[in-house]
Order: sequence, then C-alpha cells, then structure tokens
Amino acid sequence: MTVLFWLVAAALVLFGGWPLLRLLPEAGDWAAAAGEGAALRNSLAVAGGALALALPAGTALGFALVRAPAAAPLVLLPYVTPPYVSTIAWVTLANPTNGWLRALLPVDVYTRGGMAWVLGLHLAPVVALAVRDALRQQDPALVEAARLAGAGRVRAWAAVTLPLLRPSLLAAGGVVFAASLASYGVPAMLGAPAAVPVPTLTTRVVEALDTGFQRGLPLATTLALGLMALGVGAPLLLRALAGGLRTAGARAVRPAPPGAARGAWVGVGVYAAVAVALPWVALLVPSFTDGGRPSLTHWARVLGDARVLDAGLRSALLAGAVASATAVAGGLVAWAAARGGRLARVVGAAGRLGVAVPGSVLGLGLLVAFSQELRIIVLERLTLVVALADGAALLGIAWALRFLPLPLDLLGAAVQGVHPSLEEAARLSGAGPARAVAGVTLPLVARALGSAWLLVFVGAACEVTLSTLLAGPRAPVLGTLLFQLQTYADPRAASVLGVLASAVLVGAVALGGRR
Amino acid sequence: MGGRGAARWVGVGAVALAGALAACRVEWGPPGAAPAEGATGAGPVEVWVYTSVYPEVLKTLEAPLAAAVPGAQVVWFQAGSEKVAARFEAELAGGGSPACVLLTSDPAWLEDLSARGALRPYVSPGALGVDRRWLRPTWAAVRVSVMVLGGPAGGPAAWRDLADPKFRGSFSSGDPMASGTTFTTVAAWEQAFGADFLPALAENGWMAAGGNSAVLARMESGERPHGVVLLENLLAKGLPYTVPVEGAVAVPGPAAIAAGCPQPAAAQAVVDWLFTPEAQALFVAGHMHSPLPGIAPPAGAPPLEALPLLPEPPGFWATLAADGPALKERVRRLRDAR
Repeated sequence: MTVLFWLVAAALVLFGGWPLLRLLPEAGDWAAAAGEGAALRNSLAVAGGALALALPAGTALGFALVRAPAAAPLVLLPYVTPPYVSTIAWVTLANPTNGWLRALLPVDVYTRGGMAWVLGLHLAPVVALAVRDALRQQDPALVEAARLAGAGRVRAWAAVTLPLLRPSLLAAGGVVFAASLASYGVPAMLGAPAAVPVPTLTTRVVEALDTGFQRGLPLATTLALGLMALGVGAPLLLRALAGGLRTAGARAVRPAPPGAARGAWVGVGVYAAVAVALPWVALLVPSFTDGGRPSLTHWARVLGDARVLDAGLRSALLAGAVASATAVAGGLVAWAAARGGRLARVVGAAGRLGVAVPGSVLGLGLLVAFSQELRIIVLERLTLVVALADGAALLGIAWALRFLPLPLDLLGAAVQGVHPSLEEAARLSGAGPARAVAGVTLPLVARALGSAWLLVFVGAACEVTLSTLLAGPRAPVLGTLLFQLQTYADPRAASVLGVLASAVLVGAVALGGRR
Repeated sequence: MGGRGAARWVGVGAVALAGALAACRVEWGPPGAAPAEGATGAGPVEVWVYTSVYPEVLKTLEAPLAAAVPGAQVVWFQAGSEKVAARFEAELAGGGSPACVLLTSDPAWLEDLSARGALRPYVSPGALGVDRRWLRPTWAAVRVSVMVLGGPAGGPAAWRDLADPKFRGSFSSGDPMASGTTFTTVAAWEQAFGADFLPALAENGWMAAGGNSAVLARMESGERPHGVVLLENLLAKGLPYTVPVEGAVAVPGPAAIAAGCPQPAAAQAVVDWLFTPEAQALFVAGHMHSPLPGIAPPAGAPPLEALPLLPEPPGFWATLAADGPALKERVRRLRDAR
C-alpha cells in the first residue's frame, strides 16, 4: 500500500507538478489580472448557480435511484452528453431571438443563469450517484431507531439521514463547484453572444493565449493560479465542513415500501423530460433537415465516416484505462488522507489541481513539459524513444489529471463514512494492512468506487478541450471528431455524433450494470 | 528495509518499467546509424504537417500527395488556426516541435514566426506565380479564402451596412479572438473604415462568437439571418452570398517550413506539390480560390481577379503581426464594454 501510494505521489509530481513548474515562472501579470474582477464575479456566480441547481436536484435523484436503480442510465445521460453538445441544444431552445421556449417563457440562455442551468443539469448526476452510494451505505436500522424513539419522518431524516449524507453531499458539491469553475466550453458558447457579454476566468485565460502565446502566457498563468486556488480551496473547505461522522455497523437490507418505486420513477421522469428529452429533441430535429429541407445528410456523414468507429474505440479504451488508474490512485490517496495521513492530504490537494486548471493551460503545460522525445540509448545498440505527444499517452495523462478529483472526493467521502475500528478489528485478527483494507473497507466503498470509475469513464470519453490540443495526429479520439464537425464541417453532424456517443456509452453502462 | 519490503519495491519497479517500455518506440542499431538527409534507399521519412485546412479537403490530398512524393510519409495534425499556433508555440517553448510544414490561414502569425527566426526561408518554384502580396521569403499562399456577406436577399450589401440601424441585431461574425479569418477581416475593416467602425458595429448589436460554422448555424436557424462568413462555407452549402460593395476580404492560406524541421528536403517536396495543378484543383474542389493565375475558381464563384477586394496596404501582414495582439485586446474591450 505504501509503495503504491508513493508511486501515485511520484506520478502526480512528475506529470502534474513538473508542467506547472515550467509554466509558473511565467505568472506575474498581477496588474492585468487585477482588472479581471468582472470575470471573477461571473465565474463565482456561474459556479454557485450550478451548485444551487445540482445539489437539490442531485439529492432528490439520489433518493430516487435507491428506490429505482434501473433509472440510473437515464439519470446519467445529461452527464454523458458532452456539455459542448448540450449547450448547442439549449441555444436552440432558449436563445433570445427565436428560441423554441420563448413562446412559453421569457428565457435567455446567453446569461450567467443560462450557463449555471446548463452546467447544473450536466453535473447533477455526480451528486445523484454520490447520494445514492451514501444512502446504500447507511444502515436503515439507524432511521428505524429514530422512528421508534418517536421522531417523525422529517425529523428522522434531518437528524439521522442528512448528517450521514453530509460528507458525500459536500464532496460532490465540491466537485460540482470546481468543475463549473473550470468549465470553458459552456461559458465560451454562451458568454460571447450575450447582449451584455459574460466573460469568465476560463474564457479570459483562452483569450489571453489567443492574443499570442508568448504575450498572453503571463496573464493566462496568473489567472490559472487564481482558478487553482479557488478550485482546490473551495472543495477542501466543504470537506472540512463535512465533519467526522462515521458509522461502524454492518449494512442491513430492508424492502422498500410499496409505491416508493413509482414515486421515484415520476421524479426521474420529470428530470428526464427537462434534462434529456428537451435537449435531445432540440438536437435531433434539426439533424433531419439540411437547408430547410428534410435530409439524412448529417446522419449519413456520421454513420458513413470510418473515423467514427476508430475514434470511438480509442476513446473508450483510453477512457477505461484512465478511469481504472484514477479510481485506484484516487481511492488510495483518499483512504490514506481519511486515516489521518498529513502527507496524503497534501497529495490529495495536489491531485485536485487538475480540475481547477483550465484545460488549455493544462494542455499547454503538458506540451511544454513533455512534447520532446526522450531518447535512452542502451549499450549503443538500442534506442528507446519515449514520445508522449505522438499518440494518445499525453492525452491520457491529461485526462487522468483532469478527472482524478472525482474519485478523490467521492471515495474520500465514502471512506470517511467507514469507522477505522472496522479495519482495526481486522488487524487485531491478524490481517495485514492491505488485507484489512481490501477485506473490510473496500466492500463498503465498492459502490462509490464503481460510481467514480463510471463518472471518469464517461466524462473522459467525450472530452473536447484537451483532446483537440493533445490527441496525437495518429490517435484521433471522439473529442477531436466532435470539434472538427462542429467547427468546420457540419455542426448538426456534431450533434448527431454527440447524441449517438452518449446513447452508446449509457447503453453500455446499463448493460454492464445488469450483469 | 526487510526482505518482503525490498521484494515489493522490486516488483513494483518491474511493473513500472514494463509499463514505460510498452509506451516506448524502439529503434535498433547504433544511435548514429540513422540515414543522412536525402540518402537514397532510406525509405519514406516522416513529415509532420500542422494545418487548419478542412478535414474533408485533407482527405482528398492524402493519396495524391503520397503518390507524388513517395519519399515523404505525411503525418497531419489538424485543428483550428489558433489551436495549431498554440500547440506549435508550446512545443517551441518546450524545446522544439516535430512540425515541418505549417499550413494555416493566419499569415500574421507566420510573419511573427518569421521575424523570430522560426521559419526556414524557402520559395517553391511553383509559388513564383502567386500574387506578390501573398509571397514572402518564408511563406507563400497555397489557397485563398474570401470573406463575404451571407444571408437572404434584402440584407446588408456593404460592410458599412453592418452599422446601419436597419440591420441592428440581425448579423453575426466569428470571434476574432478565436478565428484567424475573422481576425484578418476585422483588421481589414479597421484599416479601410477607420477606428470608429468597430465601435459602431458594437453599438449596432454585433455578435462576434464562435467560428464560421457557428455563423452559418445562426444563419440557418434564423437566430442571426445575416453573417460575415467565408465564401467557401456558403458555396459548400449552396447558400446565397453578397460580395460587399467595398470589396471582399481576401485571407491567404500560406504554407511555410519550420526552421527546426528535421526533414527539410522532404518538407520542401511536400510544399512544392501543394502548388501543382493537381493540388490546386483539390483546394478549388474544396471551394477555395487558388492564388495562381489561370486556375478556374470554385463552382459558383467568380474568378479571384474579377472579385472586388478590400485594398491590402503594403506591409499589411507585418503590421498585423505587430499590432494583432493590441487589436484583439481592443475588440475584447469593445465587446465587454457593452
């Protein structure tokens, strides 16, 4: 366990710390950064708004998922759909000129509220899965005891269920906040067209770099430092508020009351109607027209493109590998931190930098640090060439850094809910440290581990920003195809591809869950 | 450290080493045995091309290029002009880039690279017919894109019409911060119509967001029925266009060879091929104009020499390279001040 922990720490230092160290000397344009107060306010407002939507919606969905587990793929769909693609849908639905919903409501998606809406819907499934796993980990006997002692349903919920949920809620909330803060695609697509433009810190970072790499790098890295401080600090603050509430009991199973599943499905149905059906209709209906006439051109372009299968398989394999690596690494660090390791907490904080750094800065930092080939000559006969930027390796590293905070936070909350006395009992019985963790703690956090794996997998598979910058010429992934279609060839075909990829991913998840 | 601890470290080290080896490429033979540049019988050499040319057009170039230049195995990195520039600059900052040929739509960037000594001087014989405005010792245009007005009849017929209250809130363009062709167009506007033109557009509800495809999407959905968009995008979709009264904006798409290119001879062969009639015909089939005389225009478009164009003052690209960042900042402040 110790050896693995040090390997993870070394990998973080090499692939996360080294690129940052290469870029940090560039930071220092504090004067220009001080003038970005509006961008800072907008970023905080959007992240706060997304949190205000995702937390209650995700909590309700989490309760529903306990009663109706088969609804999980439907709940996951908004997270699986690339935010890039769902933003296109919400522009169709709610632009102030001719948005479809304007006939019913005076909506305008080109606002901070619009950005918070899109991001909140996209990230609510993260909260839902965290709440579901935490509820499954709770012993129903605790609530029963409160009811037997005379507490009403609401009081039992407030006094027993909610405090036990708090670590997971706050951890998921931290992920939502940090991910919203670091989002670029949604604010870029919704901020510039606004009647009163809405710059955010991430769009300002990219605009700084667009003025010229050398000229814009000081401001970009200075703003990125600020984002890192916010993106790491806020989740840590939330974790500190979570407290040290833990359980030490075994988890019993109780049958659900009759009709509970029906109510859960109604709730999921309402959510699905707003977060899935509406956007998908907005994406799919235009995809069957071209120049105002019915046409299958966009579908033919996607289904007839051999690159789609190639990129899709590559994305799935790479995302799967990244999900496994981050689940193991994140779980290990989260366990060590939960058991009081100070160094582990430092490593955990460092591991959260990836989600807080804007994708462009992370990608450019990795290129600056690792774009060169490393040649190792062995016995003057053999040359080993490590060329990370050639294929998909550098992109995999970027994805791992980007998504590591998910398992760190979700597993951290789950492990925190398992009392150390359980492991101590195993150790006293003669089990070694690894066996105690594997035999006692791991089964109790297995669902959280599975959820973390799933969220990393689907998030990485359709990721766009890092893919366009880092995917090697010989290793295109879904994100590069999405970007090419959207930017150059056929935005409606990009919508088709986004919808198809989401459906396939969620279908695979549903099939895997059935087994 | 006990025996078991040491064994664990050795085991983990072996796994890590195996993983690292799996990620490596292996070259056999003494390190100095690589064939000299231009040596015969050495097999094709890799030539990395960083380009913003449309993926559909690249697909048509691949096979003929491979047949015409068998000594070069071209590896394409395709992305937007800004992403290509960002990747190349980051690699330079990291110690060097594998890119040999740069093929984007941002001549100002190439002027900047040239001034910094990052381009290899080379003029392809095939480029000698290119208009002198678009020919430099270090780069030459292989294609020309043209920015015009798109939209239904009754829309703006001149660039100045975009400041007319009659068209308030009905038009959009790409984001000059993110789109190289839009950036060139905005710079051309400022040169031609003065410093007050851009604020007048902003006052008139100018939406500058996304790239050319985003402008088209807004035109097709009716959100902004008129657009400042590339002629080639309109021709590809069979949509109507208007050449502005003052003249369209020509945006040359240059090719250049990076100074650090490890295979300059092969890179020169690739660049030479891009100026052949065969390659030029493929660019024209992709709805772009050729910069060379005597080559037919894309279907549905007038010849380049018959197109009225906004005047391009001498030294325009060098000025744009120097003033570009300041112009982008002005546009950003203008936008954020609304």
